[in-house]
Parts: sequence; C-alpha cells; structure tokens
Amino acid sequence: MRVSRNEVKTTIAKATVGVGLPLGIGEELGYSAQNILKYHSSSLVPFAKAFDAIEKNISSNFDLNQAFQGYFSAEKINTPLSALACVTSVCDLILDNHIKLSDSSTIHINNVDIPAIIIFQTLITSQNLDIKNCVSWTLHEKPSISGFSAQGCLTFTSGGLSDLLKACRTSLSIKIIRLSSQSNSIYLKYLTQKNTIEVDRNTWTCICKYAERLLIKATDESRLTGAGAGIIDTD
Amino acid sequence: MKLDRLGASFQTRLSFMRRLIRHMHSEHWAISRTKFDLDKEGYGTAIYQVKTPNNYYSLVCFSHYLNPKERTDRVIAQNWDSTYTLFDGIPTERDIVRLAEQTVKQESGRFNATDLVLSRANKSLRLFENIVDKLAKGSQPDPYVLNSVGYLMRTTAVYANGKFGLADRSDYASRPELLPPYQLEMLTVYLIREFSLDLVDYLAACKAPNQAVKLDPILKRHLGMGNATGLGMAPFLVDHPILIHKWFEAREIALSRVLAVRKATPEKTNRFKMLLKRATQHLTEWNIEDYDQKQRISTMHSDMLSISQLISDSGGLESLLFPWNILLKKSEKILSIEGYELLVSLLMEPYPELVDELGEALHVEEKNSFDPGMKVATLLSTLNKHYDWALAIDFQDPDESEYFWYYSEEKLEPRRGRRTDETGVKNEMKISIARDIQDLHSALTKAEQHISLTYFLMSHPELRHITKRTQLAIHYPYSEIRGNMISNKCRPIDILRSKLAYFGASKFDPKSDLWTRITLAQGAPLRNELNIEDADDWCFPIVPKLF
Repeated sequence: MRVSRNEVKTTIAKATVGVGLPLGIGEELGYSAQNILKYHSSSLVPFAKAFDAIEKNISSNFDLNQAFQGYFSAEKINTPLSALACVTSVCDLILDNHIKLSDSSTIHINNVDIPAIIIFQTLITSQNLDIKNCVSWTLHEKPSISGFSAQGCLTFTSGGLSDLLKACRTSLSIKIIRLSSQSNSIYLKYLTQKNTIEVDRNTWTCICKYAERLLIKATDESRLTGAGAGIIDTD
Repeated sequence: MKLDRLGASFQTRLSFMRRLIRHMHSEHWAISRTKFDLDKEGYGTAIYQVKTPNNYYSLVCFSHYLNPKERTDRVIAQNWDSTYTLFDGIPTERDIVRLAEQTVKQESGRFNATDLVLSRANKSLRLFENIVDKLAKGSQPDPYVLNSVGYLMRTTAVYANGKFGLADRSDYASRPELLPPYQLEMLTVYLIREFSLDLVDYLAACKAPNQAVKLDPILKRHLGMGNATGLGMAPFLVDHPILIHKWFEAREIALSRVLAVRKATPEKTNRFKMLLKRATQHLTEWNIEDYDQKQRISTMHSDMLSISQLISDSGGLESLLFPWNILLKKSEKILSIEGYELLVSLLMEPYPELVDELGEALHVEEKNSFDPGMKVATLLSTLNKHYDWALAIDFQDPDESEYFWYYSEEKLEPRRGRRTDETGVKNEMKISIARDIQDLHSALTKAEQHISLTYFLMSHPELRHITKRTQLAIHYPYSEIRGNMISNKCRPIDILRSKLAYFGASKFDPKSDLWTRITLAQGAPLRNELNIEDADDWCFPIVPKLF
C-alpha cells in the first residue's frame, strides 16, 4: 500500500512511544525510517520486528557501564540487545568521539536484535559529518556484511541491502573513516529520491497497532469539548 | 513570544495568503472553471483549473446534500455540504471517479501522491440562502448583512503534507510558487471561495432563471472564506520550533527595517495614513458576539484615533527623522497590546520593497541536528539563560498542570482534557515544554558537569526530546512560545490566533478560549481580477459601497 513519508515518520515515532520507549528516540527513528524509505529500501520490516522484540520482552536495554566504554550489550544475560533502545546512544557516541577525539575509535555492539535499525540511523549521523568522512560498519555475519554511510547514502562493500534487512542477532562494529574521492562519486549517484513509497500492508498494520496505543477514545465529554467547539456551532 | 502577545497578532504583508495573491498576480496565473456539473439543487462536481508558468493545479469540488440533522461545523462531523481535493495537474475522468469516492470520506479516505490538499466546507446558514434569495429576486444583498458574516462557506479542516496518503510537502516544496509554507492550503481556500461565489449565482439562476442577477463583483470581493479552528492547530506551533522561529524572526526583521527608514516620502506617509483610516473603519465593522474581544476592538478603535492624533501633533511624519520609529515608540506607551500589534502590521504596509522578500524564506528544510558532544554544564547554562520563564513556573500548584493534551482516536487530531476528569493521561502528548525543561534542569543539576550529553542521555533517554530542543534555543531565539500549555491560565486561542494571523486571517471571532472563527481572503481580488494593478491592496477590508 502507498503511504506518505510524513505518515511513516509520525507513525514510527508514535509506535516507538507505544512500545514504551521515549519520544526523543521515537522522533529520531521516525526521521530515520523516512530517510531510508526516501532513498533506499521500501521495507519497514526491520522496524516492525524491532517493535515486536521489545513488546514481547525478547530484547532488552543496554548495559550502561559497558556502553560508557564504547561496548553495547544487553543488560539481561542471554537476551539480544534491542536496537531501538541503543540506536541513538550508539550514534551519539560515534559523533561525540569524532568531535572530541577526531579519532577512529571503534564502537562495538554485541548481539543486537535488528542491526539494520542501527545502520539506518548511521545514515542520519553521516549527514552531520564533514563530507570527507563517513561511518564505516561491519556486521559480523558469515559471510560478513559491510559498507559505509556517507552524507545520508548507504553503500555496501560486501553483501547487500537484502542481506542487511534479513540480518538479526548479530554483532556489529562501527567507526568513522576518511572517505576516498573515488567513493564520493560512487555514492552520490545513488542518492535519488523515490516518488512513491509502497509498504507491505501487514507490516504497516503491525506498526500502526503500536502507534495507535497513543490514541485516546472519545467520551461524550470530549466529543463536546475536546476540539474546543461549543454545542451550537453552525452559522 | 508570550501568549498574550501572540493572541493579539494580525495579518501582515508576510502572511501566506497575501504572498499567494501577490505571486498569482506577478506570475499572471490563470484560473478557469473547467467543469460545473451541478443539478438544480447545486449538488454535483465542479473543477477549477489553475495554470501557473510551470504547473497546473485543479480543485475538484464535490457539492452534496447534507441532512440538516448532521450539520455541524465541528471537526467531529461526518458529513458536509461540500468536500474538496486539490489535485496536482489536470485530473482524468478516472481520477475524478476515485476522488469522488475518497474525498467525501475525508479522514477515512486514502489519497495518492497526486492529491495535494483535502478539505471540506459548510454553507453559512446565516448568509447563504439569504443571498441566493436576494439574487433570485433580482436584487443585490445589503452589504452590511453580507459583512455581518463575511463569507458564504466555512472550512472546518484543510489537510496536507502527507495526511491520509496525500503528497508530502517535500514532493513539491522545490517549486518556486510553493516554496513558502501553506501556499497550497491557501490556494485551496482561495478556490473554494471562488466555488462558493459561483454557487450562489448558479442557484439564484436555477431558482428564477428570468429574474435572477449575479452577485455584484464588489460584493463578491468582500466575501472571503470562513474557517473554524479549534485545538488541533495549537500543538503544531510547539512541535515546529525552527519553523516558528523563522516566521517571527522575519516579522521582527521586517519591522526593524521599517523603523530604520530615515525619512519617509509623502507617498509612504499618505499610504500609511490611508491604511490607518481604513483599519479604523475595519474595526467598526468587525462585529462579533464575544464580549472580551468586543471590548478589545473598541479599545483598538480608540488606539487608532490616538495614533492619528500623534501624527497630527508631530507636525507631519515627513518632517521627522526616523518617523516610524518615533511613532512606534510614542504609541507603545499609550496603546493596548492588540492596538500595538495592529500598528506593527500597518507600518509594514507601505514598504513592500523592505518586507516582501522576507516572505519568500519562511520555510525550513527539516534536519535532525544534535550536538551530543556538548557538556552538561553548557546545556545547563543555556537553560538558565533561555528558559528562565519556564523555570519560574511553580508546578507544585495544581493549576499549572490542570490540563493534558492527547491524540483523539476519533479524528487522529490533538485534543485537550482535564487531568483529573479524563482517562488517558499516560498517553499525554509531550508538549508541556516548561515542565519538561524543569525535569531536564533538575537532572542536569544532579549530573556530573564535565560529561557530554552522549553520556548524560544514556542514563536519561526520557529527556532526549527536550535536550535536543534546548540546544535549538541557542540558535533560534524565537523558537519557544513562552507559556505553559498545560496550565489553566493558558488560552489555546492565543496560539491559534498567531498562526491564523500568519495565514492571513482577519475578523477573529472567538467562541471560547478554545476555538475561533475567522475570515480568509476577504477583500482579495477575484480570479478574474488577479491582473489588476492593486491586487495586493486588500488588507483590513471595509464594507463596499454599491453605486
């Protein structure tokens, strides 16, 4: 079914809050989903899976002490790390390290449930980098999937988008690297905006289900006064 | 950016409807009625086609029978006199069939990327039939009766930017004619006005084919488009801090440019004096029921007379250095807030060359920028500097958090409820900026001051939205409405008015602290008058004289 980019952004943000995560994270995920659909994939499946994993308590939040050291892993033993819960902190840390140290320190994310969520968000992070830099990432799958995010554009050096969309419960390492001028010309040509976004109806319904948790049913009282109108309001 | 100041706003040269009309005039847009397939009761389909230098737009109008029992202008209505879609290009028969099916459903319909704006409107019961009857009898309606309402139809919602599958603004924002915000919405309202004016002529002719006359164009021009706006619009201003900054910064820049004029030519001062006179009359013709607003209008009328007196006492504005600055400074001491804001609007009018270009840059490209490397101490200092107004609110006082805002299931729109009376508080919308600022301040105070926000937010993800927002305040000083949205002292209508004024609304007719009626495009040239020389000279319209 066709949805608008604005619907994607607001629905993902609301769904994030609907599964109990903070609005600030939801807003960024909404922006990220809108961006990925705009330029790359038509699949919202990673978001739906990530919401389900939080909802069903399959995945958990990150261990704070380890995160301070640049290692993200689940706070609960033997559970995967929720990408939704850690994604903004991972991307903040990438940027923070880059600004503060101008170094290439690597961030490690262990056993993350849906790695695509983090890669999508690195596209946004890459827009805040100097054009000469990019976010390089590797999923430690067999075979490995790797690539870089530069100026909002996703480029694969091994594997492809379909592999990334399928990947789950894997480890991931991320660092900022200098981009060669040759790579620059490669990624820029891919950055073409899609005019229409078609998403899978079932996936969309699943995401909407979480978003709709924020809606409040009308009461007789709210029907009369909720929008501010009085009882006699025709002219 | 205080609520009472926002609640006193007026349209200016920067307002979106003003910009649209100017643009239509300068680019010689051609608007034609390409379909008018209505029955004798006025029900059926009509299409208005707009030709711009590079694009076509078409308003597809559906006029319906509305059971009187279902007539309500509130957003909760399910049926309307008329429904509309603004289409990108020229619709095919297949498009029209699809739109006929979807448009009538409004919020329950699904739309395509070719569909730009969705709207609906009801006839004014006070005026519509009255005018049809008069025209059918071969006479023109009394201009004062017509002025008492100011429109034939009133919209209750105008949706765009991706709602219900409509085209996203980013799909068309690069078109020069649509670069400033809300140009498509304003175009839709303008075209619905044209339809409403054609409809009365048509119905009068159906009623009395041999006797009916058409509504005089002078009277037509004095009919705008009504609108009823409630709470749904209020959170928008809170949710778009950078956009709002741009709007209010532009207004301040425009004013500062006018105040910096060293000498005013007679042409400029005469223009100002003419508009002051017109605005003074406009105030006497702004007839509404609301007692408080009536009082304010009366005070404003005295304010305008005081300004005239100041000008007389000054010995002539042309003789002064920085005349507008002197006038505003002197007026400041004697005018009401609303009178002052009206004066600000009038001061901009004689100077299109200083003001209008600012109206071309009122949009923003959405960016997700955040500096996670900022230190806690720096953000705390920013909070203390820019949010003293929020930190001063006493949230121990239950009055300061009496209300909460939420999304209604029924209309997918923001609503407000009493915290103690309604369920759903746990799903409260995050628009209580002042309260969130206090929470952030408290957490920042307790945190280690030398760490960056990256580490602070790892421990406090719930404060991410407000942390990011606070960083904006450094670069965007007009980004915050300095008021508490959940207080029982907050009048949402103040927020509505500021946005509606930026749309170009006039004749604010508040029905409570929560909703208002307004008129858009009253006085604006009709579609066949867009090429007249004074196409932009329609602010503060007054009752026309029939000769």
